[in-house]
Formats: sequence, structure tokens, C-alpha cells
Amino acid sequence: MLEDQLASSLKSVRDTARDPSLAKLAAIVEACPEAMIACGSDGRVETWNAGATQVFGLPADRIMGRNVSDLIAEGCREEFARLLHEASVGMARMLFRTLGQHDDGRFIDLSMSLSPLRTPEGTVTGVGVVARDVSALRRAEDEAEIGRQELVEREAALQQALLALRTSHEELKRTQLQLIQAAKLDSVGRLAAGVAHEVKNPLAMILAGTEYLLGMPAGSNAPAAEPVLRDIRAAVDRASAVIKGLLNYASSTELDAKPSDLHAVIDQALGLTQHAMKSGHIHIQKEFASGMPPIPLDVHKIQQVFINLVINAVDAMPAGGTLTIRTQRKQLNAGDQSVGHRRTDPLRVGESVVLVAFEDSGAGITPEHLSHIFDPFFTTKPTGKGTGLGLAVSRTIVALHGGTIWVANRPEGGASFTVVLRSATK
Amino acid sequence: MERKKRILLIDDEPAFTRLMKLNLEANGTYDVQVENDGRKALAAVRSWQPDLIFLDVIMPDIDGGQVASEIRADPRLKAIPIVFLTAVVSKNEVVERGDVIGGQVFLAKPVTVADVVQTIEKFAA
Repeated sequence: MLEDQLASSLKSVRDTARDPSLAKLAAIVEACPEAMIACGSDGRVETWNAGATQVFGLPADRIMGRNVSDLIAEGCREEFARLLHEASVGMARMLFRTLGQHDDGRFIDLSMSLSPLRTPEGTVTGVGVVARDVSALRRAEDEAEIGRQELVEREAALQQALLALRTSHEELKRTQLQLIQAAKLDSVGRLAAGVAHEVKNPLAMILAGTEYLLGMPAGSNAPAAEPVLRDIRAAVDRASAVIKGLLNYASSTELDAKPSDLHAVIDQALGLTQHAMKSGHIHIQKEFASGMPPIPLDVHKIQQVFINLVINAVDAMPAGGTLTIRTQRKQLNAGDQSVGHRRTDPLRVGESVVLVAFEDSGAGITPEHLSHIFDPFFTTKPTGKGTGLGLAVSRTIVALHGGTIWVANRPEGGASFTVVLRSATK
Repeated sequence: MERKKRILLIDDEPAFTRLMKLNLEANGTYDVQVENDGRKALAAVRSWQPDLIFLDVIMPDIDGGQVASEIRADPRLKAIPIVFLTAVVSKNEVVERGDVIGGQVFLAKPVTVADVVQTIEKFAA
């Protein structure tokens, strides 16, 4: 029996030595970085390549004759023994994962295949074990999984942050609108005296007219009454327009932009500030561009901006002067204030805008005030005359319309405030 | 026959001066001129020498205060009584102070013709 085996082995060695292709195959097995082990049907290690020494840290002489299961970590040994047994009765198991143990004690992630070794007649004489150390791959997989988990957590955190940001943006918008309303009521107080004046004047006309008509002798000619009635009618319309203007101005709280007649909005603002201008001896010079298309505006909010700018101009000219209001259509270029190329820039080069410039003939703005002029509560006016909210709120309103306000001193003296508004909704 | 009293109405609201002139002339005893511009009004005061001036306070270019100071600065005109007829003061304010605020006579708009006539009779020589 032993002689037979010996004879067979010798034959095999001789065959190998004789057959150059088998020699090459043996060289490949030896050079392969994977562990290639042949065991008997009982699991004892019979051949052991250099790759196996590399993977398990064991030289061939220390493993030969031992059970291949010794290479497997304790917890996985039972499962491995079952698979090994199945292979020894002819059932291959390819590319499964198991945990091996290196000679130095550390665990090795293994990708393993077990194949029955058969004689040319088909009899299973043992099991071929091919094992690859996939610890690095496993670590990378683990890290990838951790990374994925972190990504999921981060995405959740981002979602939460986005939600918080949206909430705070809504909150900010509400606060802005409240601030706009507060500043508006402040200016309503300022306008009220002027509005009372603007209403009392037509009332005086109505009273004078009705008294004249009441004093006319009965049966006197109707044609004489007609111009008086016309004057009364005009006075009623005038008082009504002033009151309606003030009420509309004071009431709106939400931002509601619709295509609007920009020049009509400027004229309404001038109507409400007429008293301030007349008593301040301010001449108005209007230079309105022709063919102005409807502009998306919240009429009452923009009116608030124009009223603020007119009142500031009046205050800037205590000895009287000229307020020029100029409108212009323009395509923005790189030299314009606060205009950029980035997607996040509120106004971009090449964009079509309309400009509404308010130019006074006052003393202008000192350089140290110029940089603070839009700061909330910044004011150069005497206590009780201004809250310092007018320009801050005006800029907010214009920004809510997607525009901006430019400020500059004019070379010929005085200051110029230019409201920049988009020609169309973005 | 006694000369009609000359009343000059200075106010930048043409409809108001037009209607008040109609009322005062209907009364039959007044000669009324109106001016809607402060500078032209000064010229009218000099050339026409009214017996009483009703003067608006807030007017463009030159306001009622300036018109009054120029009249007072002119020895030939300074005796002409001036009544400020304006919407800048309230009726209560005027009544409480007996028609005089800061040494000036005031009438608050809106004003009845009877008040205007009473004021003329009280102050015009």
C-alpha cells in the first residue's frame, strides 16, 4: 500500500519534471501571492505554497500534516469544517468570506475557495484551498461604510440646517416687514402735519365755495354757480386723494410686487410730501425717461422709499434748493456700484435696470458718514427729527425687490441717491 | 361816498383766492385783489396800498413770513394790518390765544366768510 503511494508520488514527480507545462504551473503556484494549499480528505495539509506562508506567517514545515482548520479563527472554525467536509465529498464552495488567524495572532479577512481534488477517474482525494488576504479591502469597505454612514448623518444634519435656515429666513423676512412697517408709521407721523395742511386747504375752498353759493339770491343765474361748483368738486377730489394716499401708504404690510407705472408712484410720493417741499422752499425738477415700461413694484413700499429720499433731501437743504428726480433705463456694467459677475450677486453685469435718482443741492455727505448712511439708527438729524431707520429700511425694501441703492456726492455739490430696480422679475 | 376797503388776499391756492374774492365782493363793501405769488404780492402791496392783507404762510419761493417782514421793513407799508390766513395752525390754537400768536394775528383755514368779514371790520382802518 505504502509502496503504491510512493510509486505514485515518484511518478508524479517524474511527470512534473518531464512535463515543462506542469513545471510552469508549479512555478505560477509558487509565485502566486494567494495561499494555495492542498489537503487530504481529512483536512491535513499536504502542500503549501509561498503565498500561504505570506498570508498566514507560517513556513511550510510548521504546518505540514496539521489540519487546515487550525488556520481559521476559532469562531469561524465550525462553519469552515462543514464546508471543508462538503468539499471533500465533491461539493466546491467558491469565494466565501471567513476569518483566518495569522501566526502572530492577528485576524485575517479571507476570501476563500474550497475545491475537491480528483483523480483522473473522478475520485476525490483531497481538497484544494485558495485563500486571499482581503483585510485591506475589508478595512476599505468598513471605512467606506463608516463614510457612507457619516454622509447619511451629515445629509440629515444639512437637511435640518436647511430647515432651520428656511425658518430663520422666514423669521427675518417677517421682522424686516415689521421694521418696514414701524419705520413707515414713523414717517406717517412726519407726513401727518403736512397731510393735515394739504386737506385743510381744499376744505377752505369748499367752505368758501359753499358759502358763496348759499349767499346767492334765490333764482339768480345758474352759470355763475358753475365755476364755483367746479372749484368745490376739484377741492373734494384733492382732499380725498391726499387722505387715500396716506391711508394706502400706512396700511400695506406684505410685499406685493406687480407691474406698475414707476412715474405715477414717484408722483404719488411727491403728492404726500408736497407740504414739506413747499415749506422748505424746494423746487422739484422732474426728468423722466420716455417709454418707461411697467416695472415690478410693491407700489406702497417703493413709495415709502421715495418719500424717505424726498424727506431726506428736504432736510439736507435747510435753506431751500432744488431736488432733481431723474429716471433712466440702463444696462449695468462692471464699473457700477455693487454689480458683479457671480451668480450670487444681486445685480449682474449686463442686466437691464431702471434708475431713479434723487439729486439734492445741499451740502452733500461727509466721507465719514457716507459709509454708515444705511446703518440702522444712524442719523445726523437732531433728536426727535429722525429715527435713523429711513435709509436702512429703504435699502431693505429695494433689496426685497432685488435691487439696490447707490449713494454718492455730486461733483457740482449735494448728494445723489439712486434707486436701482430690475426692469423685470428675475 | 365812502371808499370801499381794499383787501389783498395773498395765497398760492388760486381756487381759494378766487372763491374768497367772490364772497367778499358779493358783500358789496370791499374791493378785493388776489395774488398767488409772494414776490408779485409785494409789488401789489406797494402799488395798491391795501387796507388789510390776508397772507398765507406756506408758499413756494417766498413764504408768508418773508412777505410780512418786507412789508414791516418798509416805512410806507408797515402800518398795513396783516392777518395770517393759513392751514398750518389749528382753529383751537388760534381761538385759545385770542387770534394772536407771537404778536401776529392768525385765522385758521378752513374759515367762514363771517370770520373773514369780522376780522376785516376789527383790524382794517
